[in-house]
Amino acid sequence: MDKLLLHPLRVYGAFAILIAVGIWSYVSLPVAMYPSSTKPKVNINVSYGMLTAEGFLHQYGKSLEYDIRQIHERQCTPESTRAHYGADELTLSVEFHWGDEGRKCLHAAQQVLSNQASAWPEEIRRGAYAYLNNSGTGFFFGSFHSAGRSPQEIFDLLEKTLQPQLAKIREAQNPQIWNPNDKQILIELRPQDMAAFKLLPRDVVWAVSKAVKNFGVGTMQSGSSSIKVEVGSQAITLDFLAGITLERRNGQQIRLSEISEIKEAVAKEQQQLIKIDGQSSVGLYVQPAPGQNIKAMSDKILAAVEAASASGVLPKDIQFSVSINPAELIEAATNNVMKEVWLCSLIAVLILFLFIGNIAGTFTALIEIPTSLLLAFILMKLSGVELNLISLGGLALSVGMNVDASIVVIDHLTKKLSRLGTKGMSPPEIARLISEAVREVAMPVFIATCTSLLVFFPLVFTSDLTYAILGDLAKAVIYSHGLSLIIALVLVPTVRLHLASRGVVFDDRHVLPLLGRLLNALYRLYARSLSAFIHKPVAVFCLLLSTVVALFAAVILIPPRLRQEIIGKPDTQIIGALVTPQQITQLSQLEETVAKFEREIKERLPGKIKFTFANFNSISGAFVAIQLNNKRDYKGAFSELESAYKGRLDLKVDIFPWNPSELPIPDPPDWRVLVHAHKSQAAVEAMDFLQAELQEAAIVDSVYTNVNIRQEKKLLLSPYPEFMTAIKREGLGFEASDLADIANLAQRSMEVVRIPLGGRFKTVSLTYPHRETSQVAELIALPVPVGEVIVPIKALASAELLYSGSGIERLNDEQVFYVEGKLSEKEKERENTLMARLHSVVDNFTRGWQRPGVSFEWVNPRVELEKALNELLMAIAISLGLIFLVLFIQFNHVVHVAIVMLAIPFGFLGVLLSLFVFGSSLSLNSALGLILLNGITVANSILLVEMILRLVRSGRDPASAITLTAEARIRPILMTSLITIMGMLPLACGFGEGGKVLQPLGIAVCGGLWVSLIFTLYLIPALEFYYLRRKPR
Amino acid sequence: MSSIGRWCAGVFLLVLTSFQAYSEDKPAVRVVKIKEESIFDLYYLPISLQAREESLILADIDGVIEELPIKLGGMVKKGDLLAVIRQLKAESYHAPIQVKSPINGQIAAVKAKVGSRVKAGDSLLQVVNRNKLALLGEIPQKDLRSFSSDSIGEISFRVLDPKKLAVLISGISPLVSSQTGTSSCELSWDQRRLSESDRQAISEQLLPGMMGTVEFKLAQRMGITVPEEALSFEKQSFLTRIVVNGKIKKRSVTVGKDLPGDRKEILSGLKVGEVVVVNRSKYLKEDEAVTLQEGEKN
Repeated sequence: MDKLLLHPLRVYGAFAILIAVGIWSYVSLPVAMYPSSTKPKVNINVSYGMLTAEGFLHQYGKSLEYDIRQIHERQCTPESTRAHYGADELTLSVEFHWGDEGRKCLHAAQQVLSNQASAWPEEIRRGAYAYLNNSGTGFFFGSFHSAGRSPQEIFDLLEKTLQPQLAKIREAQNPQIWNPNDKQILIELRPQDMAAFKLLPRDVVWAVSKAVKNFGVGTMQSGSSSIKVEVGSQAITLDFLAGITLERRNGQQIRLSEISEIKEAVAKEQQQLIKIDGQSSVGLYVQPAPGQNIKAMSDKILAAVEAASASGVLPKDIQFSVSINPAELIEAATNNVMKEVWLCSLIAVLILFLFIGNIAGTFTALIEIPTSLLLAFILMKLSGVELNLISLGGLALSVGMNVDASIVVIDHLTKKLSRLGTKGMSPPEIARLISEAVREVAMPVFIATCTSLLVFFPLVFTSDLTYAILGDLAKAVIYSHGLSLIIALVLVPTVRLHLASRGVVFDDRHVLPLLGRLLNALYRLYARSLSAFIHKPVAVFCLLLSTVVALFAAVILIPPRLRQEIIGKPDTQIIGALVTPQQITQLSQLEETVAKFEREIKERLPGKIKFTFANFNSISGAFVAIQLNNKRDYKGAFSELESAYKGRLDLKVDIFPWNPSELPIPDPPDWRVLVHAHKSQAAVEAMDFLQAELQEAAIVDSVYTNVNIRQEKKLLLSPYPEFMTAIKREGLGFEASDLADIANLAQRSMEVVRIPLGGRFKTVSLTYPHRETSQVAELIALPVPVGEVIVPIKALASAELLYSGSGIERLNDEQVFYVEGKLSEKEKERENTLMARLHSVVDNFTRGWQRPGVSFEWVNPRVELEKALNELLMAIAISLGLIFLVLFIQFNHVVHVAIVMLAIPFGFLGVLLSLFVFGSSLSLNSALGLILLNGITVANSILLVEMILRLVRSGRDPASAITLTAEARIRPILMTSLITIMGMLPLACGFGEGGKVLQPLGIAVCGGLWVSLIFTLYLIPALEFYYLRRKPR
Repeated sequence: MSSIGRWCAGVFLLVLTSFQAYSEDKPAVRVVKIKEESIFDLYYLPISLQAREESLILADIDGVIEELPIKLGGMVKKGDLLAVIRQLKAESYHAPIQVKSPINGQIAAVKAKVGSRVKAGDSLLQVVNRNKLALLGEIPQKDLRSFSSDSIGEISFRVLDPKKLAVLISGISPLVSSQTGTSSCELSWDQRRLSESDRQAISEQLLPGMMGTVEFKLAQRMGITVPEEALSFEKQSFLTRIVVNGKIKKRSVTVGKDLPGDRKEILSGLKVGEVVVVNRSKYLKEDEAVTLQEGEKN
């Protein structure tokens, strides 16, 4: 090692190269908000045609669910299926395992669906499709507008020029330039004319498909699959469609134009509609492909648009404005964490200087920080860890820890060499001294670092949610902290020698003499108080006992009072609102509802709203993102909107904070009561009464049931069998599926075929005019040709407006009923009292509910969180075991190992206390803080115990050994602990974007370390003293 | 001020402010007063127009069409010559048969050509009197008893949109079809309620073969209706909330049919003059105090 020290340039050179590689790695690492983790979810939608929910369930639903659960491929296995049988259609949600591949899962599900669907009736098969549900992954939205061009013009231009560029972005899933005015071809059939000519919808479908097929072009849709037919290249015109002929039974030819109106129009239920500030725009709406980096996607999109406008492809008059860019939020959050890293470093430097007192020493230790970080980036790049809030948090964490090794080395070096005096020594002599000093201190430093690393090691082997969130953090810490050891043992001594050979003296005196004297006095004070303390067994015993009692008390009393969550959510500037209207049938009604909502919020928050972005998902609801001008207004605006829309009946709006780049972690309700019953009717009844009871009690604001027990209206057409058989027997050409078609056309539209028109493919759909079908009474009077007469539908089918507690929900093949709810932010502050009252009301109710066969059960909906926390606890246990092993190898004596590890419960006590005092939460991050603390406190204990044992083994009596150790080791212990505590302070304050995520971690470590420090400094030596005194030598 | 005095003032202020807070906490509701109104059920039927007088002219004998002195759409009167058929049998000389129109009307279809051979029974022409139209429909058997000779309705045709014409039920067949379960019915124009422009529209624009929809207002009665928002379904029954002396009272109601305008008929449970809540901001308990807001105009 001497040789190494004498050739500093070699060492510098090697490190310089590594640092350069490190910088390059940093620049080239991908950046995201959270670790990319996928738990794919596939949704399958099937409309029932003329069947009821129960009918569909028994005939087709059960076997569909069963087959889906049988999917078993590598990287594609369903974890749970949730089937919601609504009034008109089934929504089957299939959740796969963490780490499964999204596209594969979708494909497998589609296979199962088409296998099952082949046996289904036409009208059901047509309405079945499967898709990947990545509603939780966030999206990018920008819009194009131009003063001089209409949206249609802009759209046509962009589709040709920009669309192909966007399609090349592989991080994006089907980037679409979207024209809200995009029209379909609608064939609006006139029911009277059709009846007069004795034509049925299926005649029209057949004629149109045949005509298009004969023409040689087009695509035929059949459920989820489509067959593309392309022979000719001519486009079809509307006139061609108008001239399609249908043949009557008597040979007469009727043209399509005689029985319908053909126009280009927006369909009755358009799938998606997007509005900015209430105006439809030509939008660019892009979601990331499953598992892809959303920041990379956003950056590439912006780059593509820039390139297009720079190269002139995008004309100057078309402006592009970005409404929602997740990359911005990610950058803000990650920059914030980087700032904290800098802050931590600065604080470390300050404390270093205050304690070490000379610049040379400070500088030497200082090198550690950037070097270990930069080198860590290399390892991160090699192992594929991204830069995200979690991994950056890990780096911020490790800043405080990394200097520890260097400090111990420098401290020891300085003490040794300043005592011996190096004036007049030649460099090789100094080098030998230094390497001797390093060897002396290498073992404890190595052990201490190892134990710190060991606590994180098990985290790398956790699975699912825990790994998804903490894996990156563990890796970041392990890399940078492990590297710090090498730097401390190699680079630091080299620099110190270099400085020494330049004449910089090893001086233990402080630059600020007053401070130096104060600190020395402090150290002496500690040593004296410690030796006084250890000679008072009563005091020692009392302290020990009270700690144990405090620990038990804390473990029992505190965790139930803490909030539980998986991970804190970063701050956001956007308020999200979900507008779910009741009982509408038209998209235009939803548009009106949302417009009304937007007007209202503009009145409530004048001047505060930057813009609103609305995304309509057919008629089931609209999501509105409200971007505020100023982040400071957020809290006030949010609580105002929350209270304004709570419980309103005319406008049902859910307000929640929204971040477009959030981690899709499960968001279960806060409480849930499961209702078991043999008959579903009994369960529905029980749920209804329970919900009413809870609403009356007004303990919490939201009480939901999973199935709709409010009377839901469904129009059920059941054909009269006597007439249908008679009609069939007479060969009058009318069947039950024709009834279904007519009812379908009246309420929705029916897609027939896709044809090329004007250079693009357009959908051709059939529908009935809205005016004649808006009321049920009119609908059931639609004319139907049967033989020679024309009768209304109501003659052939009973039209029932079903009012039932409809809605069946099945979880993993079992029908489930539950009453549940989520607590608002205000309610969460009083969570425990509210939950206690809730429990008592429910228990009273269930005791009083006398109907047979019904039972109630409180369930814990937060299974995932608990599983994650349990895994973490397991990881902690394993790490403790590993620490024990390592310590045993070092100390070879169980009792000493036990004493060292006694530091851990002290740390635990400190963590719980500080979480409680600062009102933080029990989350994965605070559990992580606990892990971290274990490592630090054990490291401190090791420093003490190792020296004590060494001195005792070399002949000293325990009392003086302890005094000497106290004097020698107080400085490094105090320094390392203070640096960690102060370094964590910025994290604990949780400032800035993304601050809330790591806040529990900071609180846990800061608070915990204070408490454990005190105990470590006094109790551990005391225990060693008593043990060593008893032991015969 | 003495300490007791300050203490009292403090308490008084506290009470005052909490009272303020309390009184501000009353939820606001929108209400509507119940009135008695005329209710009826709307009933629709598809109606087809057919000609009363229609003649399908058939050939009496075998022969060859010699003349067809008519054109499609041409007007003919009773007795006008429509076609001349020359017999082919040469056993004895017969004069060519003259086919005459049995009714006034218009030539609706021409199925034969001059010079073509026809057999006895072949259809030659169709003559239709467009001025005498029958309005025919099919009534499902379960609805038959809702109709009487007093039932009046309004019929609309696409060509006449938005005009509606007044009609009556003139007759219902006693037979019910075994295939469709319906009885045929015939409507006639309600002359008392037709205007001059109505009559003109009928004679000029309506043609046999057209289809329209008739709207009947059946089961006219006096009753109570409420908007749908006023109803809530709790504990397996329908409820409304009324306001009595500034406090909420829940009333259980039985609900009748759906009515146009998103309203529902209330069969029992509410009385005329009671004030019903149609809009509320939160779940309202029995006896909860509320403040009233202007309701909708009924």
